[in-house]
Amino acid sequence: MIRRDLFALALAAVLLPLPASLPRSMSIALLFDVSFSVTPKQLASESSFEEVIRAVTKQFQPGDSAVIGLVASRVAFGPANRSSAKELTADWRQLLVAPPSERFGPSPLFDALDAGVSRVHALPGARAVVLWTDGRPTGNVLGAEDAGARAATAGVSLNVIVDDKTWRIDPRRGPLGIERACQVFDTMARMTGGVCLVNSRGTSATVKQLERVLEQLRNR
Amino acid sequence: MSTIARAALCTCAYLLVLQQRPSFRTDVNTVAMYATVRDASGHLVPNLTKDDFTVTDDGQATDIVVFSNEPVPIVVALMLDMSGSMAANYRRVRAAAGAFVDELWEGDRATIGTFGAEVAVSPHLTSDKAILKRVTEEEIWPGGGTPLWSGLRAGMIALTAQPGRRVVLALTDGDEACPARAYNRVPTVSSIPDPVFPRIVDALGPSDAVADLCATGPEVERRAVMQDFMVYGVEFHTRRVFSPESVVRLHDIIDETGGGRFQLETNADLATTFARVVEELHHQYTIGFVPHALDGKAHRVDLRAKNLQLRARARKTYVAPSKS
Repeated sequence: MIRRDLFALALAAVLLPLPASLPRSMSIALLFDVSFSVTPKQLASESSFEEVIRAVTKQFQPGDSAVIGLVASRVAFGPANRSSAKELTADWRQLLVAPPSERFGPSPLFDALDAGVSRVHALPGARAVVLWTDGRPTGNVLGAEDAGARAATAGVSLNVIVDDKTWRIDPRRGPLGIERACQVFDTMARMTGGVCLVNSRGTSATVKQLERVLEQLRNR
Repeated sequence: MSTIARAALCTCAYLLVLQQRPSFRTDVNTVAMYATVRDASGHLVPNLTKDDFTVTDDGQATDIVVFSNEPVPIVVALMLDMSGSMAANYRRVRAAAGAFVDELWEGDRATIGTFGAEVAVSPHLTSDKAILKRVTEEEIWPGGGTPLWSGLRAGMIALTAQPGRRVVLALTDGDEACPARAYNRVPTVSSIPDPVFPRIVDALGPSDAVADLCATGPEVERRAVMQDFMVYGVEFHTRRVFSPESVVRLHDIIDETGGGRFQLETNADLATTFARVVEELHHQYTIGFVPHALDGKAHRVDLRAKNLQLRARARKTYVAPSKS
């Protein structure tokens, strides 16, 4: 038989409203472009990938989770529901073994973002897809706006980090590459409350921006 | 008659032709040719009749059993060289690709691809100009080498399942240089202490596997002839110079398949050149003949206009069906 005072306490706890500031849980699909246009040098700088993974998991609280996806001609996903940088980094390394025919083909990045949305849209809390890429989408079934609209409908935020030091800006003709790439991604990111970040000042500065974006996402 | 009225009349006539165009399905042994005829000053001559042509098959005169001088819908893969050397021109190329889309008629279908750091073809082979324009705006990016043969091969693969005339139109400025081959020159594991490199090398497998990613000129020529593709080339002359080997091979492929070649100087109007290609494709003759031997072998075929002032251009080789 339950004591009356304990019953009252339990009832009060159940009836107490949740504090408004209680952060939501977060589910993230973390995609990395490993197509051939991403040079071996970029791939070799594993620390960049790790930094992004760490930036995401640093924000994690109990109940948060992520899944890794590597993008070549198609997206290969690792196991779902990962919560540590160690697990996610191990998944990234495992997935890197993609057939060369897939890596030399197109880079359907809009379709990949859409695949990321499908991985997280049924999960609880704040949901986001983060894509690290050199910014050259090709061979997509979906256009940028189509993918953005689908993500917005699913309530998933799209976030893209464009990272390629080989792109140039022609002072006479305006943005030639990387900035233009972010213009394309920015349209879809804005539709979902996400962002496109250009990694022009070093990975550390960029991942700090990403951390802020994810923090805002959780508290939105 | 106003320009709009002329365009409307032209489109109506074309749609009528779509329903009436000659079919090669009535006789599986009929070999199709698509011919361009130009006069001495280079103008298209679109109104000849069957009796204005002769066809020889391995040197033997043969009868033309199917003939039409009505427009045939275009099915084309536009393959754009987006190698690093094209970076300064990539906005022009993007705009020209958009202009190319504008030139297409109702019933024409196109897909757009690029070759550079990667070889990519849009999965959309469509007459929907909005989709094609989206592709030109969002999916054309510079960088990498010039995997010309791999680009042409990818264009052909994209059209393989399509019946009738299939055209691969390539814009390129340089020599074949397939970036996938560079992965054979990845520094050895011992020289780079990073743990990722061995994974990349392992993933690529032996060098043969990488070589398969890079098509060769002879392979592309063989595929184009065997599978009845027409190859068009727009050579964009930047500061780089084509090597004789690349030029000769590309010209061979174009000539063997009855396609056309256009040379552009750096500042030339690319959009106008694409428009010329589309106009030519809309004014080709459809000609069919029965091979003199059903031997499954390659035959030389020669199409000529009887009027010696005119120059007819069509495929030079075909593979005859076999009896079985």
